[in-house]
Amino acid sequence: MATSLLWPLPGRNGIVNIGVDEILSAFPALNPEKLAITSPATPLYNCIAWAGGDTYRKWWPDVTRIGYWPKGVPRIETITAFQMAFETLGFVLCASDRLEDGQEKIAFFHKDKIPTHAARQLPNGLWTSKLGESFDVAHDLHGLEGAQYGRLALIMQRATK
Amino acid sequence: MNLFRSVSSSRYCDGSITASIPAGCYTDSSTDDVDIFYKLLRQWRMETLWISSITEAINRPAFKKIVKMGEKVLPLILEEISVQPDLLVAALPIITGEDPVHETDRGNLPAMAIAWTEWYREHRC
Repeated sequence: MATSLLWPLPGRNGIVNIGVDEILSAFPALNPEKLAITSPATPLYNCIAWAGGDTYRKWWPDVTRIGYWPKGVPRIETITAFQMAFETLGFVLCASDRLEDGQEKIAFFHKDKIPTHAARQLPNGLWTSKLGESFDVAHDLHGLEGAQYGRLALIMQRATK
Repeated sequence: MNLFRSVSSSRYCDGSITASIPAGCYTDSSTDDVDIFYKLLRQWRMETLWISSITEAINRPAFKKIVKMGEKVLPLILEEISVQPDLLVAALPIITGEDPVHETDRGNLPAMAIAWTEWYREHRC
C-alpha cells in the first residue's frame, strides 16, 4: 500500500507523495513481494528507537546531544557502542538471523564501520524497519543492504517477552 | 499541536518584516530570506528521508546553510517544529549557542520543541 508523507513539506509543493516505488528506488535489493508499508510517516522516532521498541524519541549518540542515548553507554558512533546500547535492553550477540522460537532479534547495518540502521525481526521471519524520517516497513533483511545503509554488521537477540 | 500561533512566516516577533506572503499570491525571489529558508528546508527534508543518523542529517549542506542564516530564521524554525517536530530542532542550539532542553528529553522532539519555544519567548521576544 502506498502512503503519502503525512506532514506537508513547505512551499508550493505541499504534500509530497512517497510510496513503495520510491522505497524500491532507494533500496533496489528489496524483494517487492515481501515489502509492505506498515505505518504512517513520522519523524518522531528513528530506526534505532523502533528496533528497541521505542516510538516516542530518536536514539543516536550524536555529539550535539539531540538524540537519546542510554546512560553509561559511550556516546560514539561505533558498532560496539550500539551493541552496548542494546545490551541495556537485554539483547546479546547472536550468530544467526534465522527465525528462532522464543527469540527476538535485531540486526545492525553499517557503512565503513559507522552504524547506519537497525531492523527488528517479526514473528513471521520478515523484518521491520523505520526508514529514516518516513515509514515503518516490513521487508526481507538483506534487501536493505546497498548504497543507503551499507552492509549487515551484527545480529543480537533476547528472549521474547 | 501549534505552539507558536502568534508567529507567521512573514513577521518576526520584534516587529521586523522580511516578506509579506499574502495567501495564494506568493512569488519566488532569490533574495527573499523566507523563500531561501523554505527551499533549503524542502531540499534537506527530501535528502534526509531515509536517514536515521542525526549526525548525517545535520551535516547535510542544506542544513548547514539554514544554520548559517542565523537568528533571523529562528521564528521560521520554531513555527515549523511547532506544527511537526523534527530534526530541524537541531539547528537551534547551533544558531543560538544555548541548550534549554532537559537531559531527560533528549531525542523527544515534541518536548524539545516546547523547551525551545519557551526559551524563545523568554529570551528573544
